[in-house]
Amino acid sequence: MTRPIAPIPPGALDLTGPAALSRRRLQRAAADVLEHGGYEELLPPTFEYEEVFLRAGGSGVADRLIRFTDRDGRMLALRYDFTASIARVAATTFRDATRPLRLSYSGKVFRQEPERGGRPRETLQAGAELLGQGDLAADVEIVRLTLELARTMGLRDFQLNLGHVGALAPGLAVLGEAEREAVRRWIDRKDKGNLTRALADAAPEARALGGLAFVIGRRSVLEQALRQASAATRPALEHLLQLESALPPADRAHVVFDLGEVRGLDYYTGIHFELFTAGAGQAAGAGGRYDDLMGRFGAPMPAVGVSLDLDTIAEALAP
Amino acid sequence: MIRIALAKGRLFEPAAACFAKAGIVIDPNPGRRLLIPSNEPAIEFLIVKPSDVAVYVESGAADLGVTGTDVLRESNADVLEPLELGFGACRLVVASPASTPWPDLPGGKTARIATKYPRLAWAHFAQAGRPVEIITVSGSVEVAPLLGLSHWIVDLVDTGNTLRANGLSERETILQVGAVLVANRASQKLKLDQHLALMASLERVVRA
Repeated sequence: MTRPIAPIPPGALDLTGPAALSRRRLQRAAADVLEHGGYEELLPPTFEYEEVFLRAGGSGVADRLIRFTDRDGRMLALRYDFTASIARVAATTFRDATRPLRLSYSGKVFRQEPERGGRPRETLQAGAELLGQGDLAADVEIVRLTLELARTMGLRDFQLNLGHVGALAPGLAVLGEAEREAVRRWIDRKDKGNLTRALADAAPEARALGGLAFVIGRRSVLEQALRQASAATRPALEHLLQLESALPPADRAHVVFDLGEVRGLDYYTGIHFELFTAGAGQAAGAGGRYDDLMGRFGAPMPAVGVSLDLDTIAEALAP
Repeated sequence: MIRIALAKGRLFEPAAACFAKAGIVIDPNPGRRLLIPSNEPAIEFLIVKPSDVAVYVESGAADLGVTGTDVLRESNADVLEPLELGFGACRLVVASPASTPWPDLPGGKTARIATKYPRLAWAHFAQAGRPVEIITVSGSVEVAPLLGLSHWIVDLVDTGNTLRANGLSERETILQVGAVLVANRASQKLKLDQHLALMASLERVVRA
């Protein structure tokens, strides 16, 4: 009698037939767009010292690393994201290379999910990093690249929700620590009632959060917000308007301004965005500017990038 | 199309009434249909177990839902919570038999706690650094101490009558509970106008 074959662990998936084919096609489409855009592909290791991911992503990453011990007792982790590895390579191998650096990647990332949740613990990604260029043109390039990737992969009904950390940061900065945490929570839940109550007695800069956090829509909505904006928030809103003005109409049609996202506030330093597509209950991609990242690897330089979730896109495209 | 998940049980009637006041009337004769239409052609409902509302909404199988903060916090689902609906108020508490000492058990025993909310119960005691053992059950929690399954329970309390009938005393409150509107994060972006319109009518009802 043969023993039954061991099952795969929770959160692991065998992809076959159309599921495998569709992902490979997405990878090919992404590779074409990225190569054409002048992005050089990097194949970083599948595992690194955990410290690389912690350094890049901060404490929130710690809970979600899939770790194991190396023979010498040092802690390794499966690739949590590509950005960390690329930052490490850019700070070492490419330390003296001509900037800006345009680097791309395609492959799996591994993230711990709650036990017995049954959610996948590996995700297929493709993406790009533009390092060493901190101007508006670099932001425009990454936004256009994201939209071009979405189009080439076959997405039809998609939108890029674009925000800027400078919209909410000034208001949050004037709050005390406990208040700030509560206010961030209400903004994250889009709970206007509780947010308004929490801000009732706050300074004007903070009270403005009650409006700014709900700014979502096309150009006219942002222009209206700009008219009421404080001196501290104005540069961020102006930057977003300039970015949109630099896009061709076909790209502009997919951009929605959205100032109400607080999740990336500790990571991003400028623009940030998420890609949404009909048929997916979660974002199909995300990106933004993280000018603090490279400094954590000893090679301070501006950085902006995007990563797309090819599994979500493949599922959304499946007939 | 906007699909709204409602919880069976204590929150269903007030939730349906709340939507009706906002002008969205659920078909009163659903029959055996799983998806129930409303008078608004672009809005339909599905009725699921309370703990499943957040599951449907988080995955995007439903755009919106109405659920209690008890099961929502227990699930830790990543959803928007744009509106407290003002009904379904109750509380999640620790209760123990009125006749036994609290909080220390005789002989230094470790308290066993029966609950439908293992995550919230664990977090409550872990935060205070109090060692407990959690036993997850799916119903009739209040009889667990009588039957010797546990020393204490963590359960939802409204009037407290059920607790008293089973000889239990309310000892600590873990969470004030109420009904909230939840929304899928991606849906709120992709169907923004529909979400905003619905939110505006529900807000009017809640404020009235």
